[in-house]
Amino acid sequence: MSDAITITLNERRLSVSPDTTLYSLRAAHLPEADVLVLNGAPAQGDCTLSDGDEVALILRGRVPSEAELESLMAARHTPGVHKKLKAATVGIAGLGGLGSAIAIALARIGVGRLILVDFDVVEPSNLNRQQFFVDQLGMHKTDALVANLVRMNPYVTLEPHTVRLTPTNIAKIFSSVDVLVEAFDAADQKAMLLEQYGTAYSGRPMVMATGLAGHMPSNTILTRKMGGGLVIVGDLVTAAQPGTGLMAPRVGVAAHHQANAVLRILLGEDPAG
Amino acid sequence: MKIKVNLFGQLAHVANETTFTHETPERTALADVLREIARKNDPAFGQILFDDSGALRAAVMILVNDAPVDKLSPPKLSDGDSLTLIPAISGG
Repeated sequence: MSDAITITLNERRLSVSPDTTLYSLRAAHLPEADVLVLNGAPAQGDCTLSDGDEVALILRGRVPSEAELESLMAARHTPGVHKKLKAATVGIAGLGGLGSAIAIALARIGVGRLILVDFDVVEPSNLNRQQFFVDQLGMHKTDALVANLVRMNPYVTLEPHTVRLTPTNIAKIFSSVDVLVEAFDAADQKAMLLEQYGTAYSGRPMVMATGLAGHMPSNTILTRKMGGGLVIVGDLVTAAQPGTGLMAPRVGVAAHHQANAVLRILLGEDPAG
Repeated sequence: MKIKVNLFGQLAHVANETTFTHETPERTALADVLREIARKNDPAFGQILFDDSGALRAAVMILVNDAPVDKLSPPKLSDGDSLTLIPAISGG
């Protein structure tokens, strides 16, 4: 094709003739598309495409197939990232403010399998920071989170456990994870999880969080590599207590520090460096 | 034996340092090493580590040579070991 131009269509590079218009592209590739996005903005009408244009053709309400979604994700990630994430299993102990946000972040980037554990139900006081909806009040957090995650990425394997984690079940439930995320609320439970998982699976990565309450500056939340596979996120001092509650912004900062640490570990990178 | 002690969170704040070397006789049990360290510091240090009955608080995370300690079956310390103390904080 002489003088062909190269555009990107739904994240795939495509050579087309220089007189190709947006509508002719749609007709050739996805005639039923009802939303056309050109270079990041909804198209206002037909136009002739230029070299380097990025086009997205969307059929409103249609869930992409697994292959399509994978292709889109692989295009968004740098090369090699998606394959590593898809092969990974991450366990999340606790699905509250930290755990629900971490699960969403990891599902969105395509981590292959998530083991989600919590015994609790969604309560009104949770809604200031936890990734649930008012119409999910009273639902088990496992059920509510699974319902939400499948709407974001239906192709992640989700393994929920609606149980309280104890020294007798931790090693078994998380036996197959590549990385364990600690997302509990109670301080003694955080320590218990480290002790049980850390002694059962010495050296296996574990990303914890401690000290994330209130609305202190975001930059006081740090990611620290402790050695032996342990990473600790937080300021290590600010406890949740009357007057210093847990709030979505700072909890979210900590949660995404944890999620990013998980991502870096899965990619073979220093989680804190 | 000489143990390298690493402190985090409120323990570091109370002790006003993050790392130091603690000397103790060979074969001193871990719990006793912790009591020795607590005695050398402000009483608040001991209150973070131990409850009113003198038992080690469940929320204290302990690593020996970067490995989490099973508090029911703690390891024997040796000369040159590192001991890391991290008080877990509620919230999540």
